[in-house]
Amino acid sequence: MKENIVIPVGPQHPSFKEPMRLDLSVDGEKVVSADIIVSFNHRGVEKATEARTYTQNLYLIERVCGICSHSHVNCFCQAVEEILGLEVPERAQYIRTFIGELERMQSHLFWFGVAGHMIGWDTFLMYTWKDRERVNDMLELTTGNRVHYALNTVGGVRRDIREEDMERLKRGLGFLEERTRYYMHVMTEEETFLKRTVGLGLLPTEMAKRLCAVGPTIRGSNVKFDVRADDPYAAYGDLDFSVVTSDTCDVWGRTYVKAGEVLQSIRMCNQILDELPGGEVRVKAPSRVPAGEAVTRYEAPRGELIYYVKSNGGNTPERIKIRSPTLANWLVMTEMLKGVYIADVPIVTDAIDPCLCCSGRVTITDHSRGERMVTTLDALRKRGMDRRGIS
Amino acid sequence: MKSEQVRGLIEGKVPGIVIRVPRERRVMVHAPQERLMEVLGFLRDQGVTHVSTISAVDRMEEKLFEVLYHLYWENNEITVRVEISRENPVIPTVTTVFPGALPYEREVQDLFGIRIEHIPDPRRILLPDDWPAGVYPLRKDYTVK
Repeated sequence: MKENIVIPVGPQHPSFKEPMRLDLSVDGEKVVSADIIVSFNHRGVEKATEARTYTQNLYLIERVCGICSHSHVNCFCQAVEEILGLEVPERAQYIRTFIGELERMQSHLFWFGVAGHMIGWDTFLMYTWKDRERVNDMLELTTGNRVHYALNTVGGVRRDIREEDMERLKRGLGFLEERTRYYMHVMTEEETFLKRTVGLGLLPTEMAKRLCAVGPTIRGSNVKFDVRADDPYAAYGDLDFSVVTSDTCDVWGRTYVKAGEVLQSIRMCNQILDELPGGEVRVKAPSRVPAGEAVTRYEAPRGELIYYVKSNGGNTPERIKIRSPTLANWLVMTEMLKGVYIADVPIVTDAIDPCLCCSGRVTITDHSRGERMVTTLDALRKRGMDRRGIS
Repeated sequence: MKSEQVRGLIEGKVPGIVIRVPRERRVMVHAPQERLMEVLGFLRDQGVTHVSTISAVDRMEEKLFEVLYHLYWENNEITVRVEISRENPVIPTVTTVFPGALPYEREVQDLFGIRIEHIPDPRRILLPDDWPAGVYPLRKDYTVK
């Protein structure tokens, strides 16, 4: 007897990008197969962009996502600038990159907290989110906002980094480096964490490539696929950084990649502050965008973000196609869940960093006993903790 | 790989296809509908695995849909564009060549009503289950009030 399983979407969450429904088919404690439905929060943004001017779209596109808002608007601006043939000043590219890397850091620190929560480590959540506040403070200092920075415009950025803020920003980066090294140490040495993540949610390299995974998910399966290195944009062509990968192909690998990326982000931010070129932060963009098209890509915290923008020379765009990274990772998520214990479903699902975090209830169908039961995510977490003897 | 090299490679093996290099790391390929699978098969044989996404554009006045396959390979984003009839929009699935293209084919089918032949999973992906059949929101004749 196989029935559909329903996860009703939780309340709106700032980091929601694509709420999902998980259909889990189980045999005893193990997941046999999983199906994912990603339609619950479809807002029709692409259609909405066709009814707005390019300037109005800056506002709309920033709100596609709360936690990687800068990625979206940056990718969009790059596309429009390419159609215009507009050269953005170097200082603006550096500032865009700086904010982009701060965004990556706050997104990954957010994820560490949520991952910790998924395995019963609420103290870890409190620690990481407290440290994340430092990133938010730095974002607020530079852009005026903690979320939705309203920094980008076609032609550059709207605010400059002030000389008097450099000292505070550098101190913040130093603090975050020390804290991230501690988290890296915890993730690599702490036995309880290793037990909950090593060997879990396996995604072999060839499968990750075949199913077109992106971001830390594919880098955790030993594939060096990172838009910043492969297809540089903004200031990445000038910066020294390494693409972090792990050959373990499991949840631990994905965690290691994210922690490594925070350290690389700190390294890049320091370099940006040291080498920030002088000059203007924006050039005036023409009011009309000529007919044309552009394909732009960006390495958002969750992976490759791609925009296809087509202009017909009118006030409003002809077409804006947006593919966020989480959609690219859902095919591999169904594979990763096969053979996983029910108790481990939250951490495996969360390992792709799906921006949904607050799924409410799960109905599990037990094939062997022909039973259905409804359980909450909290109960599922507790089940996992009890199973592992964590109180 | 340099974009001009990519262009040369495709032109050499799949002659008669229009290829444009608007800038470094961007290759735009314009293929006739009947040669789509030939072009994609050739790219797969070269080692391309990654489909970034599939876009569609409604060119209502010209009674056409454009379907664009965005692929990543060797530092280049290669976009393969085909034009299909708007009156009877049908295109074969590319999941036989690129299995990772499935979510993007479902999206194009759901939002534009372009029928993907032999798609392994024909369910809706973005619109709600009770959305009326035959109503395609991303077409230009669907207006949002």
